[in-house]
Amino acid sequence: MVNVNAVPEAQAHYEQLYRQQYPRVMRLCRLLLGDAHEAEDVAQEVFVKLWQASQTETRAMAWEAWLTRVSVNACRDRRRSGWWKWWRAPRPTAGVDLPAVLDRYSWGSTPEEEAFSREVRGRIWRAFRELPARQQEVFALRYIEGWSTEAVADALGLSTGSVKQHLFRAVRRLCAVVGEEG
Amino acid sequence: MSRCLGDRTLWLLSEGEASREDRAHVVSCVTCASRLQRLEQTLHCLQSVLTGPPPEIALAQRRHVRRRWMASAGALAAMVMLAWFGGWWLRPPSSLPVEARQESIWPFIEGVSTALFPIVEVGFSAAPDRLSELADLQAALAGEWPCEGTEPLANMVCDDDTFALLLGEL
Repeated sequence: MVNVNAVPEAQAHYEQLYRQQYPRVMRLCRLLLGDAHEAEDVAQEVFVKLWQASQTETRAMAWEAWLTRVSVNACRDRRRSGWWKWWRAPRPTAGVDLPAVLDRYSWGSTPEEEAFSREVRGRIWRAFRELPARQQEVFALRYIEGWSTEAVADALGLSTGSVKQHLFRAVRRLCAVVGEEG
Repeated sequence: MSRCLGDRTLWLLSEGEASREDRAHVVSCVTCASRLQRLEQTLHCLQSVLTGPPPEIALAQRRHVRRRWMASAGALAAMVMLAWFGGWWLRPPSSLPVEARQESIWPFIEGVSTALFPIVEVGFSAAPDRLSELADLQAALAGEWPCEGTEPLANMVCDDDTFALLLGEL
């Protein structure tokens, strides 16, 4: 016998997950891809997969962790296929209200301090983009998502020792960038 | 006094994973305590920056890198083309002098001309030099063709003579 309430329940659950998790998934994708448009594409793909999985999966799932894992994998796939995107015309980076963003994350109160902080933020972002993909993923999951080392290792299929190694290398390189400016 | 902690140990301390001795050292060492505090501040700074959207400068830098890459690829392609055409254009000249090269070319040109225009050449070189030939030729031009009235291909000897006369072989 078909449970007529199953579909509306699944849909309600999906919508709840979407509302709660979309900003987080979007932020993670943007961090790993460094491009708001690409991140939006990938986030949409991830939530399509979530919808498909929620239709078929009957077990109790930790959907938050599932979303993170799928997002990291999708971003990795997107980076790997980035060679052909290189030939596409560069799209404008509109969609991000840069003055508002810069004001929000501005540390200084004087114009000099604001310019300095903007410079530092640019350097930090560039340094992050220059990290190897694995170090980016580990750093994002550990420090941005706030996962434990064990959870990161489990999600990425690595040992905890390997995660710590990647994490320490990423921290050292990023700290060096901040230290240069400080 | 024990040695100051290494970077990795200090980072492990910030992760809450260092040993009891290392923690005790940080409590007693002002330098390491200061380093640990700075590391934690830096990590906090990194978290707050990377949680937000990438600033304009990072995107501009990426576009700049892309443009630079394209310019490099274009320059490389131009250099390859230049090397290709330059190598073809600036080939070392032959060691023979110009006159010698012309002399070596003329027989070839004459051979080609002979192959292409044999009749013209024959026409100029087949001037009759005997009186009998001249008489035959005049007779032919005056309509007194030696084989007139006969089928041209029926009398092969006559035809041979006629063609030989025209070709100057008699």
